[in-house]
Amino acid sequence: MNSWRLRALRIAIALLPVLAFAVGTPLLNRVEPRILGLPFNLAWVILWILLTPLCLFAIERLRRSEH
Amino acid sequence: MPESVVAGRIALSIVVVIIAGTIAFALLNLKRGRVDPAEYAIGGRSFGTIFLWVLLAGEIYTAFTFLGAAGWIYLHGAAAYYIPAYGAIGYLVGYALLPRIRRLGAERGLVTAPDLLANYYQSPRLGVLAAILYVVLALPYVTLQLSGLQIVLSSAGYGWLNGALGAAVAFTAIAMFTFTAGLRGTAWASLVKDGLVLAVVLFAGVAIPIHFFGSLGGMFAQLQRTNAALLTLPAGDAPLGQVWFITTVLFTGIGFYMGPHSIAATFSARSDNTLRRNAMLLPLYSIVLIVIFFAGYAALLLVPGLHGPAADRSFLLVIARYYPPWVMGFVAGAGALAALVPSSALILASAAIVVRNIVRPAFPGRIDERHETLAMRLAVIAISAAALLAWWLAPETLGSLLLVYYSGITQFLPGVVGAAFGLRLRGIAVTLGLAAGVLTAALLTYVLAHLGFNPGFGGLLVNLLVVALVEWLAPKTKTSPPMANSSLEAPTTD
Repeated sequence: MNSWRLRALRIAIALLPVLAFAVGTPLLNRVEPRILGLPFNLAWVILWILLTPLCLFAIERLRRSEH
Repeated sequence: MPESVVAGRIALSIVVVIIAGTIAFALLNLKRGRVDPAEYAIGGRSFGTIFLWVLLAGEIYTAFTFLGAAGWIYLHGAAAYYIPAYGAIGYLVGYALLPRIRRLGAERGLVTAPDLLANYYQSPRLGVLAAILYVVLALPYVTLQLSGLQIVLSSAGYGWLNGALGAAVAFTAIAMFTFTAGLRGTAWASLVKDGLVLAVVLFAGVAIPIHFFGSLGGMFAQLQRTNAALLTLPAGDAPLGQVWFITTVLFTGIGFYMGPHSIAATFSARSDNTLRRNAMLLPLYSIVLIVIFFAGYAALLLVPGLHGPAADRSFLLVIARYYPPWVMGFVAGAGALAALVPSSALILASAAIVVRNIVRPAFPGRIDERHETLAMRLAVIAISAAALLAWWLAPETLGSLLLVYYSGITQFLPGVVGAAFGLRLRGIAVTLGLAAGVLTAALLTYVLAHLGFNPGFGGLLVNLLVVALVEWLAPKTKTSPPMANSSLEAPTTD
């Protein structure tokens, strides 16, 4: 893959947590279905706290493969 | 002796041992020998991944996080989810931004946040304006930690101790500690603080709900019966509603690292990769916030009926009512460290700013390198004293100044991003944009209170508009900022 495509992919991955937290949380503004006993919106926030490091890890891998 | 006095003495003794032990531990780990300004204020640019992680976590997760997050859950429920949400966005921004800032700092010998702006834009005027704004915005943030300390200590005293006096004593101790130890000592103290906070938070957020409600699910089932409205956000542009959530998360997220102490921590990193690894690891610390949310929800069910600021005490009340004094001692000890460690980092950053960016330009040639560390130490004492005095004399003014901390601090974003990414902006454009942004944010906060959206956003829009306008109108015969070259883009390996 050429360099600008890699860069675009990195930006796209970075936007996932941003959209999930900033837009996803207020739109998925519901208690049901409860996940492991937790309200749905809170479970969503927890899920993305765990996924954000994975997104950053993927971005870092792409950055290293670029150089 | 009344029971509350005995309980208070047990709990407070533990708090005193924890604070004194942390200070002693940090001092024992200090390097001996001459301390130059860069060693004192930014740890000699030597901090590795773990050290930087505890320092940043120590700065980010303050007593306000500790008490305030539970208090927010108690009063506003799901609106508090904005805290981990903006944090995660902050870490993403940090991943892209901080390595570039660190590189500029190392190449040009920068120590403070205004150093960065004044040097990159070749504008001493911008340096002075930035320095004054940083200190004015940071001072109320320090006093906020003092109020947190007061809450924690008066809870641990079971009404026996004057919390304000206790807070003043503890704060004086930390000021002297900062005077001696510098940023390296603060990082060592953070190590103890993070360990203790983690233990206490797991207890409060996991053990308490299971103890009283059987499971987390049981607690939420009960909340759904009694406080269902709190579990979701108000719709649309209602106060603390969906629109507020989106704008606040985005705005606070992009301004996450704009605090003077955050820039100092960035300069303290050993390498770019240290900062990138930190960006990857720090989001996991947000789990601590989730656990504090559980504690806040538990407090809502166990000690209902608190209003306003009293809600910040909610989960300490649960501890006081249902657990022995030694448990309170450890909880309060962790809370006290969570107030003192970030205070230390903020005071240190402000002291370096006052010396390097206000006093030194005002008296050129009067403070040389050798005397700079001493001047910073004296500034630590002066700023601590000022914070304590202001906290005593004008708490209301401070409370309202704090409202503009985040919206004010984020106005530094255009200048800092411009420097990090090598944009050829004029110093005058950044200076005027910064001033206009802070003014607009303050006006929106104070004059048009209770907007459905975040007032800092309005400030940032005006800020960017002014930068663009000045760039467009200013004469084209400018000299380009020196070294705004592609070396900043060059890949690094370490």
